[in-house]
Amino acid sequence: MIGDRPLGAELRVVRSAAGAHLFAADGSRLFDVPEPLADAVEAAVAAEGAPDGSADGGADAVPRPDTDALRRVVAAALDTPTGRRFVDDRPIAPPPLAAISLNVAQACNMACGYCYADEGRFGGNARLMGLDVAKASIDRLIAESEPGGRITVGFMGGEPLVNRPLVHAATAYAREAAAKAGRRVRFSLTTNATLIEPDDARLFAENDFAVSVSVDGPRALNDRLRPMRSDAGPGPASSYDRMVRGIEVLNRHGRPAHLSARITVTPRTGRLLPVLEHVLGLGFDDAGFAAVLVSPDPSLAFGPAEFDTFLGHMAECGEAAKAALMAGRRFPFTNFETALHEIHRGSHRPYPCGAGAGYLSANAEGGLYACHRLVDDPGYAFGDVHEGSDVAARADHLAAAHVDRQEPCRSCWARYLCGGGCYHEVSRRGRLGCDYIRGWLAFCLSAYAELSQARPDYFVDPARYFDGPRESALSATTVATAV
Amino acid sequence: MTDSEQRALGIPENPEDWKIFPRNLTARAAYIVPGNPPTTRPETGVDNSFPGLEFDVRNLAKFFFPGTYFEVYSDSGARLRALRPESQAARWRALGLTDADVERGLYIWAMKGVTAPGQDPDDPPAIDFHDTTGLQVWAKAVALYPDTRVGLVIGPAPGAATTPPEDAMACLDAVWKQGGDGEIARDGDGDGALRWAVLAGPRARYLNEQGVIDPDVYQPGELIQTLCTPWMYDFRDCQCFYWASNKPDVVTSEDGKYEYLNFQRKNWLVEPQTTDVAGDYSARRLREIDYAEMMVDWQQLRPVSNGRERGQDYVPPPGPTDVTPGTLDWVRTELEYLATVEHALAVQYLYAYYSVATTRDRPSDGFNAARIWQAATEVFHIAISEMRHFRWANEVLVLLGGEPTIGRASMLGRRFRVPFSLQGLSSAQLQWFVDVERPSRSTAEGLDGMYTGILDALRADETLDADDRRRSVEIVKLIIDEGESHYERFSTAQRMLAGLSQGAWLRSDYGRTTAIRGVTGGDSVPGVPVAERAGTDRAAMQALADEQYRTILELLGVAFQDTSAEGGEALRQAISLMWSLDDTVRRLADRGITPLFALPEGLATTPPPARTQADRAQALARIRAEAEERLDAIEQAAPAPMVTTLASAFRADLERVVRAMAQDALSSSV
Repeated sequence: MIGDRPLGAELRVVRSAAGAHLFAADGSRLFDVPEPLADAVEAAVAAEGAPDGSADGGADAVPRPDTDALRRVVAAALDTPTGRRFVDDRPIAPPPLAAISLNVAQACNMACGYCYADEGRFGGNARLMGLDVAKASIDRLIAESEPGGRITVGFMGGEPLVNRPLVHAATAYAREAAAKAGRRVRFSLTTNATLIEPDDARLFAENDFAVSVSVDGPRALNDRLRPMRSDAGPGPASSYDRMVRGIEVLNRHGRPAHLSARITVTPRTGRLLPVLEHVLGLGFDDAGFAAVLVSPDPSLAFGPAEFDTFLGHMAECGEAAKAALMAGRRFPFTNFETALHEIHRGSHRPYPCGAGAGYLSANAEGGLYACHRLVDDPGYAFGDVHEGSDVAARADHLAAAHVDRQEPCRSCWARYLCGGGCYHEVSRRGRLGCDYIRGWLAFCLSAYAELSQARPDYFVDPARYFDGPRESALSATTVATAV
Repeated sequence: MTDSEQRALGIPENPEDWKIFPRNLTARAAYIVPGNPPTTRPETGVDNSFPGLEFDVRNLAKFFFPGTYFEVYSDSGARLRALRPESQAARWRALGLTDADVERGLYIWAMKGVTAPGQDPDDPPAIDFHDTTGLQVWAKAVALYPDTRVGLVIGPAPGAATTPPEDAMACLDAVWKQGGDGEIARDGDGDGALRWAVLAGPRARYLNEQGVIDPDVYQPGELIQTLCTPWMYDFRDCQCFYWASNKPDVVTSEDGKYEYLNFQRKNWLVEPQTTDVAGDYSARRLREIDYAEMMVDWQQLRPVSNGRERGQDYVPPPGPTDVTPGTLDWVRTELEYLATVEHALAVQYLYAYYSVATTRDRPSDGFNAARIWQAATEVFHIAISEMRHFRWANEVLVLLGGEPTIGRASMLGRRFRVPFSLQGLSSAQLQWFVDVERPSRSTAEGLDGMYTGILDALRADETLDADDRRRSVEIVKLIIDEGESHYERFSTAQRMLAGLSQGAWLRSDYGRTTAIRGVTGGDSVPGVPVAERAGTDRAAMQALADEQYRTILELLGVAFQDTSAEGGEALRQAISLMWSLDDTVRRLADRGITPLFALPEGLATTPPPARTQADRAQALARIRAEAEERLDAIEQAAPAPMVTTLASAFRADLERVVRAMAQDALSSSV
């Protein structure tokens, strides 16, 4: 219900080539509206923000007549027949576990300057998870998961393949244990791809793995940001060359169910479109960007001033992806496509992710934490794999983290799409990127409006939308020259 | 707020500017469209089905002539049912038409109007509805062009049987030419019964000024009121097991006098199917209730249970509760007998099963081979189920403080009084199996009937320990329920074999055929056991099978006495030995040797008491030792490879089972 909430916290006008649109935060609903109505909403929202505005809903505030009339009209059109909100400020109870990540190697063969994990050590000593802890973690996941449901076992690091035997043994164990317990299991693994062997490729192909490879762009850029450790062992000095070799092993010996690229962006990365095109050309199923906010080397982390440039570069990639989709071509830019589909579904959630809810992460000793980034952080410790997850602590976390209880989130129209920002980043650096997030979401809302009007089929069945064989939108020549 | 204020504040004035279109999924899902969706409108309807999916289109044209409502389902023509709505009917009342006339029955005799291209709207042809059904009149009414004039001749006799009188037709022409409303002719001095009426006016518009189906004409529900008729039509039309299983085609009369009656016959009292009708579809249809009757008089179809018609208000026959429940002593005596009956039936069914020439696994090809296998397997499963009943009856017996029995009844059934006999699975024998397992709700009949009496006695008893009674009742209920499935299974077996002659499934070399009159009727009884000549390998194999049978019984005797949870496990162990016996008997049957299932002389039907762990361990050791001795003797008498193979396989199984049972006996005492 719009009620007497600030309009700016509930509505956002978006304009696109398809006309004017109104985004309602509650339920993440998007409407086409006539220009005059869009103008009126924008004017009302601006007035709320003005110093004499009454939008803060104080006891002595007198609603301005225009807002009042507008509220009635908008409420009549947008409120649900029952008057109930899609999302309210009640926290969810901790759900059954759906995923657990095993920090199988809190160690790494690389020495990336921006690594939040401190080369996998998370500020401590390098250590490897033992099979007993891995098995206990899997047992814990099964024990606390929904009967008959689907579960995901993730392998994280550091570099998980530093502890290769454990990855193999734990996968086999999880398969067996899940089958016995009547759960369907799939796996995920985040890797720098420099250690992939044929056996690993077969393991990934045979066990429904989603493999996410960290890569930062063409060789020069990648190697500058992602150097090998001096004691990384035999092989090329270039981590890029080692990574490309790893992808070749996958192509030759077995592709995982899904192979994606994760491109870490620092303020020094520069334009993103060439980077994205290059990485997609390496043969990934899709690729996306993540900006560094927390880094041991502050010069590699984004500050407030650098986000404008970043948004411009992201929008450039988004425009390229939009043009490709309009033309019926694949351009699997995950930040964009994920946003499009979430907007299409009207995804609305009061949390940024499932950390501490359906997802937990186990450290090498079996301690449970909210997520792989918060491993060893006592503020996010939620029990351990032997004794079970600390449900009360998870409930407290979910109560405290609800986006409607965050400032300034509770008065932001984007809060149910954004969820309040990564717990790790917010806890370390606060909310620096809000304007960027709103800008990016507004861009995606606008692109969605255009695409859903011109190419509705893409949203009905994305998998069948593209004609012809499944391949990257980029030609082989582009790849060759880029490499 | 004034308009000018609103304008000044930038709020759109034009309501069109408030139009909001939901774009993404949550926006669409949250929006409830006012009014009915477009798919419910007549113009978007699915018209290739009749009477229609959204509403019965016939109902629309029943008001084709303003102020009149015609019913069109009867074969005798279109009948005027009412003068309404009043506002439109006033002109016909002004002519002198009354509700009393309508009440006495008025039908359309002729209609003048444009129904086809090329007809002159000023003088279209008049259609005579003689020999025309109501629906045919309706079809002509539907064909009437919009915005044209219609003239009707209506009269007091069914239109299908009437040729309109000349004076009425002349009047129709005259009224048409004059442009008048009509004229009415009555008997006598114009105040008698109505002879005919001529009515003229515009064809109904169906829609009102707003373009919707006129709510002044059609009352709520009137358009959809006959929508269920497809169901009625189908119910009448679908025969020969095409309809869902709950519609019988052929039924037996309530008194059982007529075995084959048409369920849909017109005269529901009794109208036996005669041979002339049986083979003639059209003749049969004429003697069935028609569509209209199916719609308005469907209740004349009578309740049918177990293939037999019942009175209009079906009252189940009184259950056995009317009988004074038996005492616990009676229950024990009855169970002691019933356990032996279950034992006997299990052996009879098993023996019959082995007489069928089939394999353990389903044959991969051959239609008949598959059916024979299916039939035989049903019988096999019933035999296993009877063994279970044997065990359950004993379990209840022990719960009630009685002694278990491993005896075998020599006479089966209070009602049937049939001696135990081993025979092949002849058609006659199968029929007897069906009969003995037929469900009954009376203690006087059938096997399950005897259990029904026990159930009543157990429920009525107040002396038993509550847990024991509950457990006993549950077990007896299980036996009764399973018994009903036996009947179904034997019936299935019968159906599977229905198209085949007995020779197609019976092993030709299985036992001998006796000429004596068998207990199940028929002059020759096939597959009667033959004892092989003493001293031969074949006799040794028979002896081996009997030895296995005996040992199993003895082990069961021990297991039955253990009512603890571990006792169940001991029992399972004893039962597992039956697979060993099954293996032996199959080998016998493949060689044309019948098992004898001979009860050894001197076998105590009440097993020696073994209620303590020590007793049981001792009894098990003794059973095994004696069995080993007898096996030795059999092997020595005929040391053929097959005998040795089977004997050593049995020895191994026996050792395993006895050891497991002894362990259970041990653990149950700890």
